[in-house]
Amino acid sequence: MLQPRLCNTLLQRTTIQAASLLVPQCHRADWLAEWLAELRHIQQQCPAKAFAFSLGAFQDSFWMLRNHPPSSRAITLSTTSPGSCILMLTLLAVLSATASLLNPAAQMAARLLHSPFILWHPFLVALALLLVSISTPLHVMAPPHRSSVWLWTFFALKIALLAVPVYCGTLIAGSLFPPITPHALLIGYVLGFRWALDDHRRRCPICLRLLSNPVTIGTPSQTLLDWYGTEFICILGHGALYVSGDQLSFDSEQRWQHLDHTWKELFQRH
Amino acid sequence: MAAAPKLTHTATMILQAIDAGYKYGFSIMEVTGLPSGTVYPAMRRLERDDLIRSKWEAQKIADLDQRPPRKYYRLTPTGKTTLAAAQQRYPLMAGLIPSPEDASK
Repeated sequence: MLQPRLCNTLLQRTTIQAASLLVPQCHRADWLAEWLAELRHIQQQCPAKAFAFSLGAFQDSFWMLRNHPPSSRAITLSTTSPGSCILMLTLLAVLSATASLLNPAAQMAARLLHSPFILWHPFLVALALLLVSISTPLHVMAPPHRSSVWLWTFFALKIALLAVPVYCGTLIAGSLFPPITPHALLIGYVLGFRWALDDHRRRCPICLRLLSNPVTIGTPSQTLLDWYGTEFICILGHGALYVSGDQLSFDSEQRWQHLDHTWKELFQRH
Repeated sequence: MAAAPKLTHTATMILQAIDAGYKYGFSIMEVTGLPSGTVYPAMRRLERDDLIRSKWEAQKIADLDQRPPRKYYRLTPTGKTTLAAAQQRYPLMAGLIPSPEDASK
């Protein structure tokens, strides 16, 4: 059995090491060396203060995180453009499928699930769609003066790709605790569909890029006098999206303002 | 010449402690009575603003004592000027922090 003193030492070191995960990698080794060196001295001089000391590492690591953002990233996973979004979801689907195929317990869970699963799986998907439609409006902007086939193809592709990590993730979770599998699958589908819809609403209906540069308009305390909400723009200059901050008023639906060619000059450098 | 930055009471205490001869994190915590979660972020800010500078202790010295090397802090010339300006704002501060020699008596 571990000695209480050794347990305390381990706990204090683990606390500092956990906090170090927040520190940007380029500063982490130096940061960790300083905290662990000080901890060692405190453990020798006044052990009673060591745990309180180690807890302070979180405040310091948060400060490091806020003030030393990672300067460069080798791979930036982003969902900004439709291509990168599909790529990221495909990657997620492949990784989750591989993880569940390599996990014998997950395969066992899949075999156990499969006979009744064929019957209730469509019902589960329909229930998830119903829950999403209750929790959020289904309105999605259509592109002005052009076909929306590409828009809906992209949406369908996102849903299809999202279903894979949700299903595989549920199998992995279900292998640990089988009774939760159907519930976890339903929750996973609801969250996945909700994300797909929210993501779709924040995209330009013309180029399908995520809208950016949010600007707050109006003040929540003056709802009777003026509209308030957030304006997003398409970085390529296709238009602006107005999202109401008031979910209860008649004007709570988001509005798309198409920008014509006269605005092009403003976005030229993009 | 740019005006010396105005320091908070906490930052002044830490600067004063380093100037008095408390050179590493725990000794600064002990003399100021501030917790580690306050002292370390404040020292990072002071270092970022070029008021203090840190330096790792030589490995040889630490090896002789069979302990990991410590990071020591010292005031920069800008830090000294800023502390002098801050001491005028907080005139009682200097008396609050004894030197390590006086404290050990």
